[in-house]
Amino acid sequence: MKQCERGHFFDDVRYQECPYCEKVQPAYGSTISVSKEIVEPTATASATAREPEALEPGATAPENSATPAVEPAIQSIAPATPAVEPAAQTPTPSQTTAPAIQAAAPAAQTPTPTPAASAFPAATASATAASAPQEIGATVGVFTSKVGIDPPVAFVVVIDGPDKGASFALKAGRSFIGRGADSDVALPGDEAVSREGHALISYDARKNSFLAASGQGRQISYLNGVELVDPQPIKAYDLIELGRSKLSFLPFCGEEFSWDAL
Amino acid sequence: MILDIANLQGDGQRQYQQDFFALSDADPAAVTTHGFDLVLADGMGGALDGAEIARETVDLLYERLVPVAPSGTPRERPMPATSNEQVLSAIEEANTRIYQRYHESGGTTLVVARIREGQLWFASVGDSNVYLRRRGRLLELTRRHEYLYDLYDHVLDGLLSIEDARDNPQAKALSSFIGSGSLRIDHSQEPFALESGDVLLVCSDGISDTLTTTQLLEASAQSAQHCCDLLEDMIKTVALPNQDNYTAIVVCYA
Ligand SMILES: [Zn+2]
Repeated sequence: MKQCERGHFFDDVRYQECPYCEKVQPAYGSTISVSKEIVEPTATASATAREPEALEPGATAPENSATPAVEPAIQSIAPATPAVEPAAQTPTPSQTTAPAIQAAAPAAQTPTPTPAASAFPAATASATAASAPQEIGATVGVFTSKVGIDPPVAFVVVIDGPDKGASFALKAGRSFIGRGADSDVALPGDEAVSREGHALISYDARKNSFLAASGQGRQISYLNGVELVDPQPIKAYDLIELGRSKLSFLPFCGEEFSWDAL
Repeated sequence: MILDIANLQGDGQRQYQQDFFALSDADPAAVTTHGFDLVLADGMGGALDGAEIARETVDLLYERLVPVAPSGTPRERPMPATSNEQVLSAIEEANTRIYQRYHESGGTTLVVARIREGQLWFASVGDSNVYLRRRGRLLELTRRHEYLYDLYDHVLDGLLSIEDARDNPQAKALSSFIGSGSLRIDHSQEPFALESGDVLLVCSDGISDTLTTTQLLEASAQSAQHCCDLLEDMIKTVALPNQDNYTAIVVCYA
């Protein structure tokens, strides 16, 4: 094996020159345009073209008491201790630092506070024609203004781990689970839990249902023993594991009760 | 710092190779002096554009990152990025260059990884993958810049069902890529220490979409070259009729 000028390892017995560096040539003449490969970037471009609105730097988050105004979780990589235990903290990727795109830092799954949510109608109007933005956007607001208070919708009890016995009342919207004291579900004793947004639970006031999801940084969480990759619905006594902690979930709102009914 | 490094690339069932990559000198002395850098890009665009964009992006980053070519000859215009901020600037420069030329009609994913004195730092744009195998576990260090994840955000706010998000025709579209008007770069906040036995696997989605994480875990248990051979065997065994271009760079840290 030999390294070429770009460092490619290639078999210099088989090849005189690096096969990876070869200039690309159309394999079947120049008239071919591969439709799939042309379609892809178009889709990409249009999806991306909608992004700036959602991620406008400096956009001010409208007041929305139903959505906890959580700072975009800044996950710092624990330099010495990337995670190895089943539920320990993983080396966290992901912070956007470029000044121009600072506001976009809460990428994809970041606990994005209100800017993205408020831009939702514009951001996804064509992508999700099935959903009606105004109606949707209004739902959460209606929920809080009607009640006029910020009542609990569910409870979380720490059943094992350093903070065993602690309990938390969750409010509507998203509740973030982390080690930091300002987390909605704070596990200050568990070093293996990320400071902010290790995992989160969200309450959908419209459907009266709950979802659990992993946080931004790829820290692993488990729902009933299965790694949380995509957001998953959760129900009473479901077990959420993160770091060395086990949490039990108890919904208050659901089929039997919802604040809307008041 | 001893690194065992290998690479794998195949066209799959595509007419063009739109993946491109570059590695710095893997010679132990060079690694000790300069550390090790790798760059991977998975281009997208019609016909030859994707390949050109990937190549140009990789070459630009390589020029910025790597002061001495593997042959030992100093590069013509050595502009080694000494800080990770400079790498990020170079990534933004590549983005601007591609954007101005293609206006989002083409682009590329990009992964840059640097190992210095036993510490790993990386940056990623798009849906290429950075995995770390550690003590028998495979950790995915990046989250793909797919529109699906933006949609999940709305799911969590109760604005959209999971099914609607997954069924969205744009779900797999990239929400960030080199050549984009709204670039997002995911990168490690700080370098973090590698442990003896760690394996870094950087690959294009032609690997990660075809193989399961269990297969990646199995392959990464081997030496770097053996891992690459195994990955290629696995891909040929799966034999997808539309197998994408695939590229893997494997770095075993001892
Ligand atoms: Zn080469």
